[in-house]
Order: sequence, then structure tokens, then C-alpha cells
Amino acid sequence: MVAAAPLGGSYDPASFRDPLSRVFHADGDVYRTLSPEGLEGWHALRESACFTDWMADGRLVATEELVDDGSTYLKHQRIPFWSHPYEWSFSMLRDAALLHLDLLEEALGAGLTMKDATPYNIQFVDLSPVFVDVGSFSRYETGEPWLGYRQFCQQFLYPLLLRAHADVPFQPLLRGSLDGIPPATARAFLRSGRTFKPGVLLDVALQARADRSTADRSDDRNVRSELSAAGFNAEMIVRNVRRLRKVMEKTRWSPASSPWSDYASCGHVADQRGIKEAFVRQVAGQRHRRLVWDLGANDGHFSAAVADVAEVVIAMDADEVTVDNTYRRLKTNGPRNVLPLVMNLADPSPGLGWRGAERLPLEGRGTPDLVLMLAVIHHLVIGSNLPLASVIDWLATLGSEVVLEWVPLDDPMSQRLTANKRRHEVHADYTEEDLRRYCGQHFSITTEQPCETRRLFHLTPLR
Amino acid sequence: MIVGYMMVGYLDAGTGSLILQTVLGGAAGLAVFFKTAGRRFLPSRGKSERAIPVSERPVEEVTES
Repeated sequence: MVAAAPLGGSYDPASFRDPLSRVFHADGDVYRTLSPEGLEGWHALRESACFTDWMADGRLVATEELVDDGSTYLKHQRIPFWSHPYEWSFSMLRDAALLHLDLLEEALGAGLTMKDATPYNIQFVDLSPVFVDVGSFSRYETGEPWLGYRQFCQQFLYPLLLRAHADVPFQPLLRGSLDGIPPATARAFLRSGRTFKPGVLLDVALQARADRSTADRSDDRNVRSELSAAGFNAEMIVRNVRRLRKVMEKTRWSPASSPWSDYASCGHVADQRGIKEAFVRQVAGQRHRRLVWDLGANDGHFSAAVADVAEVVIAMDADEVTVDNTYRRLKTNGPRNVLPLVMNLADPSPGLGWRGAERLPLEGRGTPDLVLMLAVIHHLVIGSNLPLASVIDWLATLGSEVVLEWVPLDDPMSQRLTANKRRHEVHADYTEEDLRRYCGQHFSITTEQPCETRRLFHLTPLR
Repeated sequence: MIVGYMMVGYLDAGTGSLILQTVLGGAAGLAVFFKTAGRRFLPSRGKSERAIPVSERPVEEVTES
């Protein structure tokens, strides 16, 4: 039986590992309850100079202390959309890693430490990484090593090194294991000439070697106490953190263009953009939108077009090169309420971790009030062979308005997808007539407009 | 038996990873490494003992896990 949370709320299913601190939700707000030891850590953080700085510059989630019936709670700023590191692009994970290292060094300077080092403690708000786990901080005890070093390597450093030096996408690896990539696995990808890339020799090869050296012997000695007794100190952690920051700064990924990174310059895309943008703006602007999903967003053009009427727009695309380019461009030019994410719609993020509830699936992280589905339906039905009825049924489960672009089978882009398929290998009901029939079961077609060979629909859920 | 892993707090800090930090902590860290933790990377038993084939060791030692 699940214990009831304070203030009549319910505990966050992802918050249970740390016995000192637990997140719960009540009346739409986010709170944290603390054990006596957790409270001690909070007081140390609250009284430090860095807390004021971090709250002012937004690097730490906005937090206020509440006392209710003699108990102390923390109330946190609500994150508009919760994303997972396996949905981030290279530059996003790298920015998050640099934030973690900066906070740790500043915390150590203030007599604090961080007890873990996971990107799951970081979220993006207006395209800036924000540290959300206030419970991670505690007073630094002389002699303590950096307990999160291994976790930092497995969940930040190795994914970035794999992408930068072996061109291995880290998203499937992080999605496959919430603990991240073990040293031996990272080493398997980073051998030979890659050994001498920044960070590989010390953090990968030597750590994998250290694992082997300590794994083949039964060892119950207390390493923490031994290190402490031998004079380990915070300055050694700071040196390591500064070294890792240099490694991060030298770790860059310069991908060649992908099939989708130059999509916007294709003739048919440029020709249709004006018509589509006017239609999308007209629909989106009918009311204020809290959360908009742009599925198959490519360079985020239409996400940006609706950003002024939305609190947050999630621009999802399966191509990491495009997502990374979009992230860096939006970070410089805005709008900053567009969050680009790596997401394959035919295989979207599922529920992961303990009981499948530790990392929520895409659909579990807030209901969009508008979904843009432009030039993507043919990829799902023809490219990935998803049944058209199932795609429309999935859209209906969201309960959102939809802007859908119908791409008929005789469209040149559909023809490309069917070039190596026989007609019977494509779902027979991929027709506009069937689309209207399936949509009619869940939506009313509020407006529609032709767009060269294609057709735009504004779908409103039947109530 | 799980060895080589070191649960600290609620995460696996890794025995080897903790020791490695001494090497990554500058000159003073190296001193800590050689003072204590380096012993773990050296053989824990004498060469002669480790050289005895399993088949020749006492039964209770071979079956111990």
C-alpha cells in the first residue's frame, strides 16, 4: 500500500530512492518532504551564499520553505515539461553536464557537497538547464570523496564521449539503462586511437581497469573511511571537477549533415511553408495554449510560429542532428519556450525504471492542448507501417486539438517511401477517404485547406 | 556474491571509482593513493599461494564462495 503524502497530495512515482527527501504533488503544485537528516542538508544549503546566487540566476529550481502543522516542506517551481536525458541532443546533455560541474565546484567552495551526479536531476526551462533536486545537497564532511563521480561518468561523460569520438548515439543506451553506461562498455567503444582523446584514458580506461581490479576480490573494507584517514579533501574533488570541465569543453560533436538536417531547403517544403504557416497560426491563435506538441518538428519552424501563443512548445524529431542544430539556434535566437527533443514517434519514450513509473512515458507528462502533425503521417503509416486507424486512435487518446497534414499516396514524398515496396506491402486503407472515416470517430473536422497535393485539417475532439 | 561495487547512500559509487579519485585529485591525491588505497591494486596474497592450482588446494577453500 502506498503511503499518503502530506497536504493531501500524492508522492511522485519517480521520487523514492533518496530516503532523506521525497517529492510529492498537491493541488497542482510540487513539494518536497524531508527527513531530519534531509532537513539538515536543506538548512546547510539555504544558509550558504551559493543558494542565493543560484536562485537569482535560475540555475537552481525556485524553492521556498513552508511550515504546516509543525512540519517543514519545500515548495518548488513547476517545470513546464519534464524531459529525460535520453531525449536530449548532444549539446543539451553537455550543457547539463557543465551545469552540474559548476554547481558542484561552487557548492564545495561553500562547504557543501552533492550526493549524486545524474542528469535526471536537471531539467530545461526556457532552454537553460536547471538543477531541480534540492535534496542532493548536504554539508561536506572532511575526508569524503565525491560519491557521484562514477555516476557522473556513466550518465554524463561516457554518453558524450561515445557520440563525440565514436559517433555512437547515446540516447538508446541511456534509455536502455537508467544507470547509464558502465566503464567497461564505454571502453569497448573507445579503444585504439580513441584512447588518447580527452577523458578516455583516465575516466574510461583507468576506471574500467579499476573496476576489474576491485571486482575479483572480496573486499569489505570501508574505502570511505580509509580515504578520509589518509587525508582526502575537498580540494582534490575540485581539481577533478576542473579537469572534467576541461574534458567537457574539448568534447565536441561535429556531425556531417543528416538526411533531415537540410530538409527545409527542399523545394516542396519551401513552396508549402507559407500556406502551412498561415493555417497553423490561424488555428493556434484561436486561444492561449499551455502545451503544444510539434511532432516531426524538423527545424522547429512551426514550433516557433506558435510559440507566441503557447507557454511551451515541445518540438520532437527523431533526427538528433536536426534537434541539436535547432537547440543551438533557438538558444541564440529564440523563441526560448520551444524545447527540442529527440523522439521517434513510432517508438516514443515508454515508462521506464521501477514499475515502469520512474521515468514517465511521453503521454504521461502533461496533456497537450494542441498537436501539430505536419508532413509526418506518411512516415508513420508508409515508412513505419503503423496502421492509419491506430495512429488516429492514438491522437484521440491525447484529447487534444490536432493540425494534421494529409500526404496522399501519390505525393512525391510518399512515392519515395513506397519506391521499394509493393502495393500490398502498404496498408490498403492509406486513403483520404479512410482518414476522414477514422477521424470522424473521434474528431470533428473544424477546417480544412488544400496545400498543393496535400491537405491540412484542423481536428477538434468530439466531447 | 557481488563484489567491486560499493553502495554509498543510495547509489553505486564503485570501490574502484572512489580510489581512482585520489589519482585524479592532483599531487596530494597521489599521496593518498599510495598511502592507503593503492594496496587494493596490488596482489592481496603472496605469489606462491596464488600459484597453487585449484585442484591442489584444500576442498573447503575451493568451495568457498
